[in-house]
Amino acid sequence: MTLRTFDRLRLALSVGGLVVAGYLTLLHYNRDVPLVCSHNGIVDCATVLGSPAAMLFGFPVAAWGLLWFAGAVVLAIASLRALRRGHRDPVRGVALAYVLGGTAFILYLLYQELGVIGRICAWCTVVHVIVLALLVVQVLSDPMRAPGRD
Amino acid sequence: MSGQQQDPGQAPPRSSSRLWILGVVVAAIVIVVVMAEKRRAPQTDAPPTSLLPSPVPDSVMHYLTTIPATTWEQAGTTNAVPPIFVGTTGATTGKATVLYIGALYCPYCAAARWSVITALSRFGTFAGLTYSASSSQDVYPSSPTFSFFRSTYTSDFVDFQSVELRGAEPLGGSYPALESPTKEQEALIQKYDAPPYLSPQAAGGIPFMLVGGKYMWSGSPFSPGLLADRSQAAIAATLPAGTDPAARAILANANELTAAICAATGGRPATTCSSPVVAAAMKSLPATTPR
Repeated sequence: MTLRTFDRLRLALSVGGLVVAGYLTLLHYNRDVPLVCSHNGIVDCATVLGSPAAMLFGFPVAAWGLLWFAGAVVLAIASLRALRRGHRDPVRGVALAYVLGGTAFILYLLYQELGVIGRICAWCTVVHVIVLALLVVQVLSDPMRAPGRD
Repeated sequence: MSGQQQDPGQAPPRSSSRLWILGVVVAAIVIVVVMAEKRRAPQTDAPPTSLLPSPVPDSVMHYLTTIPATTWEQAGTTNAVPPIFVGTTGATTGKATVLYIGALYCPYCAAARWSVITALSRFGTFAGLTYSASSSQDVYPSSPTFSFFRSTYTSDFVDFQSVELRGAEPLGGSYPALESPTKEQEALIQKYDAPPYLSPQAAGGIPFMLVGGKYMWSGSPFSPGLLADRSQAAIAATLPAGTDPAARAILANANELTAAICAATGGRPATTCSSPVVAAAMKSLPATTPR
């Protein structure tokens, strides 16, 4: 797989995360948006998203996720633009740190779901998988971005 | 050329100094899942402890549960909301039944829980209480409080039944359902959280409390505005002194609730029910039902 493919995948994943986080944010603020999710058993989006764990610093976690994925889109575009111009990836270290930070936060959210709330939010899980996929893509493509690989 | 990317078509090197990151993340996921399962494991035969992210730390529980006797006396029942006498349906479990109906989004419930916890801690022990806050989109937004959801309470004198009807934040047009009252609890709500005990406009309000089938409260014991812009820990820290306006309101209403519980337990435990402030409040409890 080429670096361009990796970065296009990063962009696609980031846009996907942006869409899901956008839906969850809309769900919080717009009463007309329906929640499409199971409400029974272990998968229970309503309980998870309606819990105080879904709020952080006065804003829904989904809104923070929206911001995070917007940042990920910007980083992916920066990498792709540099690649198109034949330059070294200017955000290599930032992007890796960024996705590691996102991964740490989803680990916290995973603990909240499994250990504290005892329910899983399907949409949140989609977001978690996207962040983990971004991490895998970033790490696997990292050697291609190394300065010594010119 | 230095500063340029490798040929995009070139295959990636087989080895990477950063592949270890994936190993660390996989290990971290395993650890998180194991920790989460360990946290939930003891609760397989009991209600899970909490919906909320943060258990109340021991230091804050200490403030809530070890209020000095002199502070209780100084607090009195000034400006406390007296209960409504609803008759003598009586408890059947050998303990005084204290029924609380509320919701996490409700700012008035947020205020009430402070008095409920401090009062009930004179009769027994809470476990699994967690931090909560009322809805950020309602009046008195994000009033700091605690949640009874999935908490437990043990006492030789009181059977505490709590029902947190809905969550703290709206979702898809309404607050998500958390717990439902039993048929018996629903019947009590229908009977007592209604006229003639309340005006038609106030019927069905929360928080709703029924003590020993005799004393009922519906509505806020004090203004949630007294709790604004402070953390639970900061408010709790003012309780031992009892001079802060919020602390005064919390403790005065807790004394009133304590008196009602003591009336329902037959004055047990004496250490609590024979204290001057509680004994005086017991004498002032209403004894006639509204018409």
